[in-house]
Amino acid sequence: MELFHDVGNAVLHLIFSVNIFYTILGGFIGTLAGALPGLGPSSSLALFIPMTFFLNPITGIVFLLNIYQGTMYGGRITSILANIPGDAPAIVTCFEGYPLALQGRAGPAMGISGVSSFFGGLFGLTGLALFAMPVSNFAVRFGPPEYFGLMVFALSCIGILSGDNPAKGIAMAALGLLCGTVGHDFVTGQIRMTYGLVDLVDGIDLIPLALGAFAVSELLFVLEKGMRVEFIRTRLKLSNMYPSLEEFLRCKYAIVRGALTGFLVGVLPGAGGTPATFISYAIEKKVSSHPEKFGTGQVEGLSGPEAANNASEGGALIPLLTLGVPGSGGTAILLGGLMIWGIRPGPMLFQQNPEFISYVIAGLLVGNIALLILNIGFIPIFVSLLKIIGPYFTSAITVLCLTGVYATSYNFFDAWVMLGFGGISYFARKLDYPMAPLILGLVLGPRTEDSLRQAIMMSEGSFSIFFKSPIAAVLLIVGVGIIAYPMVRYLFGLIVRQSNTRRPPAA
Amino acid sequence: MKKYVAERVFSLFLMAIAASAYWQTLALPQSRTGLVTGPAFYPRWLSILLFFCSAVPLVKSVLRPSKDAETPIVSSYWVLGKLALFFVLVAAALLLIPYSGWFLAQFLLVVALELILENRRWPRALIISGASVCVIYLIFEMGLNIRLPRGLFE
Repeated sequence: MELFHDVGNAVLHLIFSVNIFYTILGGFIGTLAGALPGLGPSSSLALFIPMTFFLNPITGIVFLLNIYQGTMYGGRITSILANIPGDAPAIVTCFEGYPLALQGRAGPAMGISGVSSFFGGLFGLTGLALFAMPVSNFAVRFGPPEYFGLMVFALSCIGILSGDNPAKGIAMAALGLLCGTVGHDFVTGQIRMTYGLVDLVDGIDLIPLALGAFAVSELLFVLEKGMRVEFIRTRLKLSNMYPSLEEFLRCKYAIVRGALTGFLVGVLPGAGGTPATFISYAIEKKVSSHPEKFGTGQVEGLSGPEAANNASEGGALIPLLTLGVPGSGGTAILLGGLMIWGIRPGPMLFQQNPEFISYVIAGLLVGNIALLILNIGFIPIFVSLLKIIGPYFTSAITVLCLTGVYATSYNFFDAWVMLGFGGISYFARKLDYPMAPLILGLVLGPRTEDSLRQAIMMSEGSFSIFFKSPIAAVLLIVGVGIIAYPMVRYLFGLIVRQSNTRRPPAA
Repeated sequence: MKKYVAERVFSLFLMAIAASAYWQTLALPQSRTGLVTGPAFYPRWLSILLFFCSAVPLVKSVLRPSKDAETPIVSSYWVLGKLALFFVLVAAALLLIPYSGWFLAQFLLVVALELILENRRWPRALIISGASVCVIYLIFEMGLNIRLPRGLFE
């Protein structure tokens, strides 16, 4: 109850300060970035983090969170109006949203998806407010062995869940962790893994790697395929954004189911908005009395996934803020931003800085309301902006990436790192290597090693410390099990196939 | 380049990174406290993990190629050339900045991107480049007080 009281105070303070400007601006930029095919939550955050260094931490984090929240709303604009998803979670929106638009019902589709996104976001925030403190209180008991187990679990999950090939996901996580070892060893001060390059003594920064992995590689995809967004011809006015009463009543249970699905899936490391939307769509199709009509403009198939996508944000913020474990590439970049400002998420954040959490929730709450207004009343403005900016996407993003990465450290070496990772990531993504584990590995790597070495020092060299703690043991066993399971299953299948081919034919 | 070739080349690339990282750890000193976890322990095990995980797609592409193994990874050599040209232009701009200053290099880069990669005409390319310089100046220098290099015009 105290948290809700603090959030109320934070809302009032936010509305009557300069933070309201950054809340709305963040939502506006996020919506535009989410709508632009080629820019998703991760690359948008990486692009704008350098611009927040000169803001105070509260303003900066509220700005970034609303960019993140805005991309959840924005992806549906081109999904519905052009059948091109603005980002990965908006793929499902194309299934029902575009057919609705073709039927001349683009306005109600935008209205339903906007309202569903709003209620999904609200659900996610409520879950964050209710569960963050209990999780944080539980996590206070965590010591180095438990944190190491948690990192292994989180990296295993995100390595396995981020793509179709577990080995590729784990490889990317290992590469990210390895990148995190470049520079000074924090225990001995030994310089390591620099290959003799002076510029690597301070390590590899998050921003150049994130911009390379997400923004530059996406630029290369756009250069390869070209950016042609053709919107259907329709008049979008506020008066025709409303669904019928019958449609709204059909959506209400879909919104609740979607929000619950999204929140629970969002909590899992490596899950995030994309699987949440697909799971929600599958659920709606399953429970529908007319599943054969899905794909032709069913409002339940539109509202459920939209609610799931926005609710997953609140779910993903729980492990991020209470444990310091991001659940996706976007939240990993948020974590990087927080650490740049000297804010270390984890259970101690709630003990030492409880007002920070109140401001986060307040910023997201006010931003959610602002985004509902922007995404229903101002859609024609976004469409016009997309038509103006779209053709100049390549130049705009190139210039923003270069300037942003230089502004982070005033070092040209980082720009070369960004270009290098951009080229590598382009080919990696072509070959279905996921990028989120790479970012997560870089962000979590130092803390993982820190926890491992502290635990070993505590036990004077014995690894049994990881199994003396039940929490650490369970997390490690589950984490290793998640990695080992696909290999065991593959080997078992190979053995079964071999034994079947050797069995003599029946007489 | 066909997808199965690219798969194998990329796997070998990652395995090379893993091997070089492992080699780097051999030069690191052992732990002074007598504990096993010195500065080399963690990166060494990570390089081993990366090596074996990178080898899995390579082995799989040899033993059980995927259905789309024969499809080209990039649609044509022209597209590959376009992407390579993008890198060349950006690299040239980065090399030019210490001499020409940020804004001139950015102006020339955007003109080149618009003319060569986007096939726009001169007047529009020049207008877009000028506009991009103004936007960057307003946001970064005026708004955020980030001083961008002036090069020889310092």
